Amino acid sequence: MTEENAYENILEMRNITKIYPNGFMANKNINFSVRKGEIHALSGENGAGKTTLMKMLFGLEKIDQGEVYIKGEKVDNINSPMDAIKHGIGMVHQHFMLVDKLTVAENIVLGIEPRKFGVFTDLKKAVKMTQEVAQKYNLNIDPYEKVGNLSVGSKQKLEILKALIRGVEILVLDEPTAVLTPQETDELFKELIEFKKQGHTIIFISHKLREVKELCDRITIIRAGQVMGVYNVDEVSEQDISRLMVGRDVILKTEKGPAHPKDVVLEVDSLNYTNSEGVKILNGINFELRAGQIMGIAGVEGNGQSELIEIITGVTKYNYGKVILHNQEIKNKSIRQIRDLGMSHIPQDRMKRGIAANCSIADNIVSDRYQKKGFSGKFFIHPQKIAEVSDKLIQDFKIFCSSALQPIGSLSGGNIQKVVVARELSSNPSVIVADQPTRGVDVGATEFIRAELVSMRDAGAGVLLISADLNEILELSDSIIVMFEGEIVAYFPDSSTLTEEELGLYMLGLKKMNAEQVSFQV
Amino acid sequence: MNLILDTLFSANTVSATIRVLTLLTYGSMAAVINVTSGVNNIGLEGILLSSALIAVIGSWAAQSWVVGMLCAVVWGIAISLIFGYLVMELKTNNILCGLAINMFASGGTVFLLSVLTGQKGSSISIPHQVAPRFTIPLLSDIPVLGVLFTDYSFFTYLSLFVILFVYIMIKKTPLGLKIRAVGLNPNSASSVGIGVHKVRYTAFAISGAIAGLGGAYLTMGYFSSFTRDMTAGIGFMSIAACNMGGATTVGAFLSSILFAFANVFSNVMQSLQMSVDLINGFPYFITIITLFVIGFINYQRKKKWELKK
Repeated sequence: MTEENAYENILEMRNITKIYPNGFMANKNINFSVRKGEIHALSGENGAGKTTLMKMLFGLEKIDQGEVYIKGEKVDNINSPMDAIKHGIGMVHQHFMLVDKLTVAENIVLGIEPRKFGVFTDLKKAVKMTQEVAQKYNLNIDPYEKVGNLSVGSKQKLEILKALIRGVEILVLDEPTAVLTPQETDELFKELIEFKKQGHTIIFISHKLREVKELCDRITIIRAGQVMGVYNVDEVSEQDISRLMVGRDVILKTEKGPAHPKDVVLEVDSLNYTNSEGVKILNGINFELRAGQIMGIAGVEGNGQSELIEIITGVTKYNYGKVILHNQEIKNKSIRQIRDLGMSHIPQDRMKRGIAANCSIADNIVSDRYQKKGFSGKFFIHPQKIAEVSDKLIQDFKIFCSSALQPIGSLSGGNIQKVVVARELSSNPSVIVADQPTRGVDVGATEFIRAELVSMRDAGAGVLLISADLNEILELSDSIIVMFEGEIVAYFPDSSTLTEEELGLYMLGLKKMNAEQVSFQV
Repeated sequence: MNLILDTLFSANTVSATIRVLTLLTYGSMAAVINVTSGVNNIGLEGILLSSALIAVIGSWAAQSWVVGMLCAVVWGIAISLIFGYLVMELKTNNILCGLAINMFASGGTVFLLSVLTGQKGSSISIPHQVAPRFTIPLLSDIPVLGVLFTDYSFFTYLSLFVILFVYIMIKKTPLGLKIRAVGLNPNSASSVGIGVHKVRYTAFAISGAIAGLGGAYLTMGYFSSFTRDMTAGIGFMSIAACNMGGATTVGAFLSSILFAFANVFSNVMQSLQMSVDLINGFPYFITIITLFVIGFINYQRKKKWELKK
């Protein structure tokens, strides 16, 4: 045996246990091993402990118990990302670790700056290094461009290059496809397979089973901090994997009957919006949402969807055009007035807009209705009524908590989202704006939230659904509009036969419908 | 009116402006480094004030202005590092921390002064050496412009090097790149193995040293003794100049020039017996007008840029 093959696994993590200061056991006796040159999937629900495990490997969290072996040798001094990189481990985080205001080349050499005369940064050399590594791995990127101007796909390439230039052999990718379009995902997969051929090892964290099946060689499944098994990917089915992840059978397909659209509840008429920096964000948006209908808005992030939602829900004021909710223009109405007209809003960022993290579950639930009759008298709020309502919602929405008085920030992401959904759906809304309602939520909660949205539709509410998850859009929506660069570029009145690929072409601006096709006039 | 104009553009006004400018340069360069590293330190005022007294003591004890200057620099670094420790390791709020430094400096200097001299107002009873003044030989003979090179403190000339140093350090060196990266996105910096705390400590130390020089100039060049609370807001004005200049070296220096001029202008006007209340507001009035103009220019520029796109 040559030295090269003296070890079977390039990486081994043995009996890893991690307990957070609040007593939560994130990892329990985890054994995780990766062979050289494979793409190894690490799958599990949100909060199962995948990211924690990788953070420990990368020196971002301390290992409480257990051992790490790299190339057969015990390593016990990974205390910072710097150490991890020295041991040949690189990580591409879910949220990019890039400095937007610096150039691509500057980001690449950050921490390993080439020097001129011993004192100055050699930017020319930095550019050259960038070009060389980009060429070597066939990733096309402009070294002089400011990172803030790059597309999401390019930013990810840059992150990968950053790791490769530091000579990493094991590349950890934390849910890399969450922000990519189908086309960008295909490109990424091609690149990853190329790295594999060049001898790199890849750890692919994901809970998208289809991607795991397509890309990976082996899979380690984690549930509630414990390993549920290690399999060769071609020997297990998607159903098997999801059962192991969730611990029961999951209906991946949401049960949904045909829609029965009724009156128009929300109408957006030639809406234009220019932001405070003078950038035109929305250009002539027209659409109608009917009662009893789920309308999906697809689009790559940053094409005006967020602004459209903020305008419809009254968070942002608009310049030109009309937004009409139940025959009333909302231009000069406050958010409370808009909500009183029957609007509900499940915001994209639950921690920022959805909840107050230090307040109790009950406080968060009544935050939209505390002033209403029954909840408060003339001077004081009525705690019994609040307790009654929140306890009921906790039960109805299967929110896992010790009591309604527990601070909401201590719940898991999925449970926090359930609280937000519970509040928004229980106010008897006629228009529900659901912005990424299942982002970062585990399979079980996702299934539940989707079913709730469908049942609200059947009860006669109009649902406006924005999601980066194309699968979710296609699964739930009755009709779909696609936004690209602030315009509606496609409208599918009936989306039941639409495919992800078709949708992707419109999302990337490769195809565009004409004005007549996107018109809502019948 | 002519009298006003004559006074404003006299050699005296120019040299007074440059003297104030020297002070603001040290302050705003220190602030630029702090802001670039991502932590604002409003304790700058206190660092200036306390190192001014330390400079006096050092210079008096050793009867050497160089020693006084070095003492002030070391003191500036020390206080700045303590600030860093409180903010980074003990996670104290940086505004509170800065306030604490300012109050500590204000009270502490008076205490130290009274222990040393028995007086609470000034340090006149402990005579110390001040920094020498220079006139640049040939340049000072140029008509009109000669005044720019005549009879300034060592610190004034040094401040030009400080500007150059800060500019090059931030723009051209690996350390500067790290400081910028840490200031813009600490997570990103740490993910590539940069020790965020280490970089910030270094930045604080440099900024503290520069602020220490500013303090030393205050009592060994600008004035020749220490007076209680003598900084009178110059530290805050430096921070304002830094921010008005977009936290860039050049921008901060240009804003400092404007502030220095406004400051001198209000002094000149007072000597001309105009309404003091009106005149005192002048520097602040200038600030608001300039911010408005800068904001407007930026807005126009962005608009144009968007159109081009």
